[in-house]
Amino acid sequence: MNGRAAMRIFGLEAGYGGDLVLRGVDFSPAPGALTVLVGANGSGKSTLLRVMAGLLLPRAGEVRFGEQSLYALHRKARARLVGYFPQTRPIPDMTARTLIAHGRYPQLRFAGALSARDVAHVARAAALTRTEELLDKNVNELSGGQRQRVYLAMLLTQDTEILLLDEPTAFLDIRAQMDVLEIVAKLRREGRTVVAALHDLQQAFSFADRVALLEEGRIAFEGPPDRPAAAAGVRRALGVSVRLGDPGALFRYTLARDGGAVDAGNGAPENEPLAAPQAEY
Amino acid sequence: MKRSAKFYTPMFSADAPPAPLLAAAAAFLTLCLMLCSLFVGAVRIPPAEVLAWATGGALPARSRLLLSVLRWPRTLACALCGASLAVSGVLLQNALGNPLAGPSTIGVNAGAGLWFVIGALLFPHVPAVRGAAVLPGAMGNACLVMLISRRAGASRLTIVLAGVALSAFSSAVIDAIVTWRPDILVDRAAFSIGGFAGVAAMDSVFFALPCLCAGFAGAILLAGRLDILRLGDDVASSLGLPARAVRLSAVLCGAALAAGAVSICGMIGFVGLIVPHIARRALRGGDAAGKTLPLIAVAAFAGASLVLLCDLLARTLFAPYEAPVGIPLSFLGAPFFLYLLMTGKRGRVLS
Repeated sequence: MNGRAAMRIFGLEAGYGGDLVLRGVDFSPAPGALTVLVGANGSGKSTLLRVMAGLLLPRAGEVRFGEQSLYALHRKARARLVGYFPQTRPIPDMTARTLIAHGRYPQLRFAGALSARDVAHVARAAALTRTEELLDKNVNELSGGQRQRVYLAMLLTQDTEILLLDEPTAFLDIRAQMDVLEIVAKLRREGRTVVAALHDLQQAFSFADRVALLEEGRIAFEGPPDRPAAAAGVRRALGVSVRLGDPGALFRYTLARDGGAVDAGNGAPENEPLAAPQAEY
Repeated sequence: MKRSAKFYTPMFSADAPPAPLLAAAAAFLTLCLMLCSLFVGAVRIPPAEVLAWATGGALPARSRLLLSVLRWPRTLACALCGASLAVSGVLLQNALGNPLAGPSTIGVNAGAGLWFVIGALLFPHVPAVRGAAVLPGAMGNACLVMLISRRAGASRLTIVLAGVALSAFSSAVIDAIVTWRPDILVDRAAFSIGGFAGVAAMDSVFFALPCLCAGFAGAILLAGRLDILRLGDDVASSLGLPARAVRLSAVLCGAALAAGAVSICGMIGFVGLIVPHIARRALRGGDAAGKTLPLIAVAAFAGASLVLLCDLLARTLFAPYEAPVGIPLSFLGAPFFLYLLMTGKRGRVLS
């Protein structure tokens, strides 16, 4: 990875048609951290991610990457900096290997041939997402969780410093959700900046380094999840109270399932399944 | 890495074993049919005379005339029209993500036909006008269909329904014009369902050539980008692909190819819809079937072969009379397409 230029967003206003969804967002995702976007339905989580990915042009405001405006960059240059994982994707008729290799598109030259380096990226992404076994299967024959991992592998081969994930755990069973969150945790450990919208507040608060709360088109709170202001903001915006439990419980569960091979950070891996939900809704 | 992995490249899939082989087989079939098309007809020309004609040797004047003015232009026209309609179908289906798309279903053929007739009406003595007028006609209808379907929420069905409506409207105008001035078309039936009887000398082929060359070149250039587009607009855009521009370019290239074909042989309907599906099935729905470039190669030769075969049948079955090529095409094509539909794995042929 090259450098650590942070993404900064100033006074962002964006929307669709006549509706303004984002009304002045100032937000700088902490570099190398996992920031989870929370907020009510329609609060603008997806819209913010789309603007950050360069898919939606803002009405006002600016997204800067270091000194450069995101929108001044060439499309492919932008795609080498920011990777985006939309909430819903089509299920194309192609093998997982081809799909994952498409992640190298921003790096390819005109002729479009994959270099040895590109191939290495595909192999690495497949190993990280544990999709090696699926590479030669057709994407439309995979389960929802497998498909999600394959798409995440494609995002990894894109090799971007900033990753934007829109509800990566939506519509998945709990096991597949764990798989996805585990991959996200690995990405964070690699020092990438991850911004994810999550609908599950317990997941959000257990996993996040930082929480960004979107309320009425603005960032109402941004900071570590254990601050009282985070819980207070959620209570105000979503009308539910969150009691923080052991933030590492969910994370350790994921690692313990794999035999605890990965450094869990704090505490030894437990063999106990998912800790009882500690957040009250 | 666990296995000696073959990594397919997004644009070229030289690794996919059946695709080049299949394309070569289809090309061979096309070549054989082209030769047959020179020998066979209302008048049988012995192979030795065809050989003499091709190598510049001596042959009877009647055979020479038949070959250079009728058979060879017609053979070339059949191959070109079949290939361009099939590739047009591949481009439209892959760009719109719609298995029902084809130059006839989204109204491109009818648009080209309408402007062909208008060209013939206004400038009856300048055939080049007809060759040029088809292009704006086809592209106009293609753009209109995309615009309408975007307004109405771009579902797969909307595009086809809009195309059907536009086709009906364009055909009605064609019929109105031809009823009023029947003299502007040599053979009205052959024009509306496709036929090569009007192909004499190379004129119409030459006039269509710019359209066809541009279309084929565009198809090859866009193939890799269309593969990315199949991941959906959001993913494609986030990978740095100008999704809308690629889709529009592909549709316009498809329109140009169909326009060229219409200016030669009239509004042949079925080829552009079914040949891409035949090619996908021939590639066994494997990885190559999901890629645009191998599909274009196989579909082009398959389309050329199909039209050549049908034209042979049209010329010989009722010789010395001729049926428009559209008739054997539908006789062969429709049951075969139904067979594909019924035997296809769920979600493969029409997914």
